[in-house]
Amino acid sequence: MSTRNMLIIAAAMLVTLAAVVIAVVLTLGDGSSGERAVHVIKPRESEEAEPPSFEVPQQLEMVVFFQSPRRPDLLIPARRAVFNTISLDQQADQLLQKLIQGPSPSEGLLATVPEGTTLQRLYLAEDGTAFVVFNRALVERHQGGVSGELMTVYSIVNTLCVNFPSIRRVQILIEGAEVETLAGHVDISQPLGLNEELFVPTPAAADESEEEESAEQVQ
Amino acid sequence: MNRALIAFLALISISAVAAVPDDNALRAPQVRTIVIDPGHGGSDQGSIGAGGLMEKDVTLAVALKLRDLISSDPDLRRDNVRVVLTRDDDIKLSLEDRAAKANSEDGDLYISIHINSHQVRSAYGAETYILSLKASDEHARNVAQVENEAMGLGNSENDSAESDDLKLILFDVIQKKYIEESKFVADVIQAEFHGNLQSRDRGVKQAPFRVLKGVAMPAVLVEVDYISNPGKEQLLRTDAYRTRIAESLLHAIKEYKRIKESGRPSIAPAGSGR
Repeated sequence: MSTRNMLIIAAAMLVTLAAVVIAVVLTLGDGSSGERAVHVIKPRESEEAEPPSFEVPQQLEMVVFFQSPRRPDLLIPARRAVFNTISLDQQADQLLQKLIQGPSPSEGLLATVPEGTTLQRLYLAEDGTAFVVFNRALVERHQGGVSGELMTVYSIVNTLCVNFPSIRRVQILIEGAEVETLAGHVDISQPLGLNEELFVPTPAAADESEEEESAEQVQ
Repeated sequence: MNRALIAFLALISISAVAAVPDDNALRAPQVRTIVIDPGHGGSDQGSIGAGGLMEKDVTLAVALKLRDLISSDPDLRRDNVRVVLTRDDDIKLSLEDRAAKANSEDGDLYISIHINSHQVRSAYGAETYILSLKASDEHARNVAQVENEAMGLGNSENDSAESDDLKLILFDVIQKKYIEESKFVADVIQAEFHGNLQSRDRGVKQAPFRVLKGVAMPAVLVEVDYISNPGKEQLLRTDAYRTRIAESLLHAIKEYKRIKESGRPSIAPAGSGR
């Protein structure tokens, strides 16, 4: 009876030992494979170490276009931040508000829209056309002249097209209605696309700006 | 026998030549009717200088001078060249009416005269504009797409809006046919201004101008100088300077006529337009 008990105990101990050995071997094996896994995982962990991936920037860096103080046919980009709202309409609306506000004195640029101009509504159509509705001040207080008119129209069009790739064309409306022109020249009765010629300064354009400066001094 | 054959071959070759190019070649290229469009007018004053000079008055004064110069020029008189003004008084005209008048008078050249203005007071110089078709091309494609979709849906509510769009596209197409020649005219005018007025040549530019759309002939919009520049405003007030502007335009018209009628194969080198 006791011998049999002893045998049972010995057997149990053997089983336990075997289990321990297996466990140790498995653990070691796990350890090594775990180490390999860690190598794979590590980069992921380091990614997660940065700000949580669900967090998006609260503000977006964009540009608005103002007029060059030296050349009547050149738009110059100025940085502006807008709140990263979910809807593109709201982002575009914020950005146009910055355009209407005009440049800060330290920027040394000129506003492109007359004082008193307000943006009444902005909406995006599915075909990539942005409709922007301004009050009458944009027409009535416009100083006229082709150059100024081109600057006004394309500061609005370019500001939207450059910052929002999904906006391919911009139609300017006054109090909700289509108008032929702002000041008698540039056709805005239909949507207009990006005009790069007005803001890409070519080397020749740079020379001209110096010339204009010296002309100013002469006069 | 031989003579008859030669005459027959000559006839064939003449008709072949006449059939190949576009309809311009069917009639001899002649420049007979010049349409001058003085910008703005009436309640539309255009831009105004710091000293109170109005664009509409300068454009009309220059146009009237140019009319006199064209009518009294011996070369142009010999060829019975006629000049038509879209307005010869201080009246307001719609942009559409200006183009319509030019077309109904069967003009061969359309020059719209304007004076520029800008916040940059120091800015000066002449620019000549021709129609840009970039925006309208894309718009045309877009409208065509909408049109196709609407046809499928049988939506009749948008008919009037669409026909307006189609009208605009037609207008664009009309001027597109003349864009190379318009570019040539613009280059000649810029050269004349640069030479005769010692004005700064700000170049030939393209933009979607309402006033040039629908004009069925070579058409340019001339921005003679900046009324916003106080020195230039003073000059633009004077009869002498207005006469010099009109003379420059007369020279440009004669140069265009000469080259066009000399039958040079292409009035503008390929790739100079857009």
